[in-house]
Amino acid sequence: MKCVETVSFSIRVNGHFSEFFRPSRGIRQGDPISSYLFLLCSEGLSSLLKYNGQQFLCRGIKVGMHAPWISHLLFADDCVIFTQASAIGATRLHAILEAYRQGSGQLVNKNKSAIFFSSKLP
Amino acid sequence: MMKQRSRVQWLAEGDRNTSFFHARARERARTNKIVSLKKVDGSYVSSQSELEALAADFYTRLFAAQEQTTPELITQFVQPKVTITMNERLCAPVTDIEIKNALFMMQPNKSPGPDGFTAEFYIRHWSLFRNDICRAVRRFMEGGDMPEVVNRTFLVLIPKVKQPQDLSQYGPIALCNVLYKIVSKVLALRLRPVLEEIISEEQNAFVPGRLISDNVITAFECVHYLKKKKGKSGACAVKIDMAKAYDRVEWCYLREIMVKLGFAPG
Repeated sequence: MKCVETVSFSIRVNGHFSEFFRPSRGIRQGDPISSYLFLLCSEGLSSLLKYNGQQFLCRGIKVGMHAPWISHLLFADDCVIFTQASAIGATRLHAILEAYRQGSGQLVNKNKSAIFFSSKLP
Repeated sequence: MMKQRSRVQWLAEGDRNTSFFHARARERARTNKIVSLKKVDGSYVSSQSELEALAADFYTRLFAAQEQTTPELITQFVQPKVTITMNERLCAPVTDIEIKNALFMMQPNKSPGPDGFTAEFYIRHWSLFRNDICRAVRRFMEGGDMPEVVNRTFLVLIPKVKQPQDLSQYGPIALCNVLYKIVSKVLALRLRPVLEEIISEEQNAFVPGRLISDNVITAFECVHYLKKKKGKSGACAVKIDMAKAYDRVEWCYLREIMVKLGFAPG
């Protein structure tokens, strides 16, 4: 933990360095352990979705008869969530993401997010 | 085709002192140079001192914790996964061999941190430094403090798009001191083998033994299913992108979740 919290930064702009300052959140890109720490963070989202999912999101989707249920897929900071296409589903998903933001500081980039509906939808 | 040709040339001439190398270096310097930046209010600044102030302000704000963080919202659902044996292995004293491995795995010529020593320097003089490095690393691992100087880091701004206009379009890459990186790498190497069991199967990045392509295939399969789906109840896929994911990780949350997963404190 001390690894993360003892950082001080200096920014380089065109070859000049600014004063050092101490951050109070964030992990560094370029630090060998960062990617693993980030995995631990996303584990939070994963369990959030899993345990909330059973209560009130639908279980996600199932590709085939015998296939397992899939509710979400993660790749580092990218995430695909499967849910039912309804107003309730949407509000609940929003609630989960809001909880995730409050809990961990992660903010969803609305410009880069997208939604994909199944065919035959009214 | 041109790309391939330049690749061949790179292999042949590498970073020897040729006109080709200088052309590459010049080109890179040109793309990375920050000429002007847009401020929050829409005006542009272009003088060196103003740019520096702007960047410093932007990142001080980005790396400041948000006012209210309530990790409990998330951590209440997290199940402990780290076993006692895992913890024993993670907390075992660090051996010299581990430290050596961590150091020798680094790319020797990556950009150095604030102290200016590259990994190559440490690797070349390993026989000389060996005892000092091992002692320093071990002292930190066993709860000793790390001098603040060791963990100083340069942030270098790398443009993420072709013609970036404001600071959010730059990616901050941290340049750490090699000595710090050794410590961090040792920890990372220890964490690696247990990740397989800790991280749930939805996450496919970085975990050894899992492939990115698995996730791609599953996602593709799901989209195909969505397209084919019949019946009343619709389903949808929401793709979510986290803005500045790394930079926004709250420390208290990280700590909470590690405790919840069952990592031994300390």
